Amino acid sequence: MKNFLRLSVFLMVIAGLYGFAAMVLDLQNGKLIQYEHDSPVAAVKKRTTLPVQIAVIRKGQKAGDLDKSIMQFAVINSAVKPLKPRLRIADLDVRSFSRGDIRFEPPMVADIDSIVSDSAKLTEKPGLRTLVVVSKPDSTKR
Amino acid sequence: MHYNSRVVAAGKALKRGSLILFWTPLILLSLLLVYNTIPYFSFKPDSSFLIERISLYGKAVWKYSFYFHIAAGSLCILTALIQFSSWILKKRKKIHVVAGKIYVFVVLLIGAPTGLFMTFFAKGGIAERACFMAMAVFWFYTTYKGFVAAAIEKNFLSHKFWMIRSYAMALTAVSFRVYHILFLLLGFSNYDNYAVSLWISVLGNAAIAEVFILLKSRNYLRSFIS
Repeated sequence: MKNFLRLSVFLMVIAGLYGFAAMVLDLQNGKLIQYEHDSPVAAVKKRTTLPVQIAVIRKGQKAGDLDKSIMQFAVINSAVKPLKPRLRIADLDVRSFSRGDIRFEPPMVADIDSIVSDSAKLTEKPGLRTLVVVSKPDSTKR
Repeated sequence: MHYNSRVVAAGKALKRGSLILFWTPLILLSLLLVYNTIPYFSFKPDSSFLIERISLYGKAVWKYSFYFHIAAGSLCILTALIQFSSWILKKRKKIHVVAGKIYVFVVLLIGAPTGLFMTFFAKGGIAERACFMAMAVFWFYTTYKGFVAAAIEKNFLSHKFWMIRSYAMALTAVSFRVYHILFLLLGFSNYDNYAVSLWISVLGNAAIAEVFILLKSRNYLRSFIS
């Protein structure tokens, strides 16, 4: 019985220390999720690279088409801001991006952890965040 | 002095009615909580709770802590439901002992440690995370004390008081959701609702537990030291 109690105390101490250490590590790496005003906002340092998938869909496009349009980019110097309830429709020209680096510029704002429309589907891959941008019609044509 | 049996009967009826009014919604809400936990065991991050924490879900330690924590919490809620039955305590004491051991085992080895780990990544600011941490530690401590009081010291009055405090912490899972819905209907924003509901559920449950102990004890302050 005493061993049981000692084990329980040990587990609590380990959980506390490990959790604290993991939190500090995430904070240093700029990955600690913090919350501001209804949206989770990643604590992003400048020049931090966050893996993100971008799905560019046209308004009215169905979820089934989403998978075909998912591309993977590395985000550098992302300006992540809390998102208002709806994404802004961005005039996004896919041809301007290439695999590798992209830069988010205003006026496009994004909440990288939120699902923003009913027609969007989050990827099942953990660790990747999906940014769904609803583009204007025809802007994704190459 | 004439002893009015109708007053006595009314008093008993009031007491019984109060117990029914207290326990009926509590039992129903506890069962509802456990029922709503079942979909999580599809092990897919498709609930809104996990979607909001998708980056945490990618970390194996957090993911397994989460699943162990909700399994432990469900088991705690279910076993604790029968622990306050005086009928079971008098007529089927062994059920109380076995269920109690399950509750203590689950809380001390699984529920509280995993809960403590996850508090470092909890939703909210520093204050909310501190509240979660305090709750996890208090839940552990009260369960520990309650177990020691019964199993080692054989002080069953002390055991009762400490387990009331422990159960109050376990029930924050239920009361939080009740407050969350209430404040949602009152128009609170999601984030503010979460913070307020958390604080009220933790502090409110702790306060209600202390009121119960105060009413049942002859020397309230001694309930902390023995």
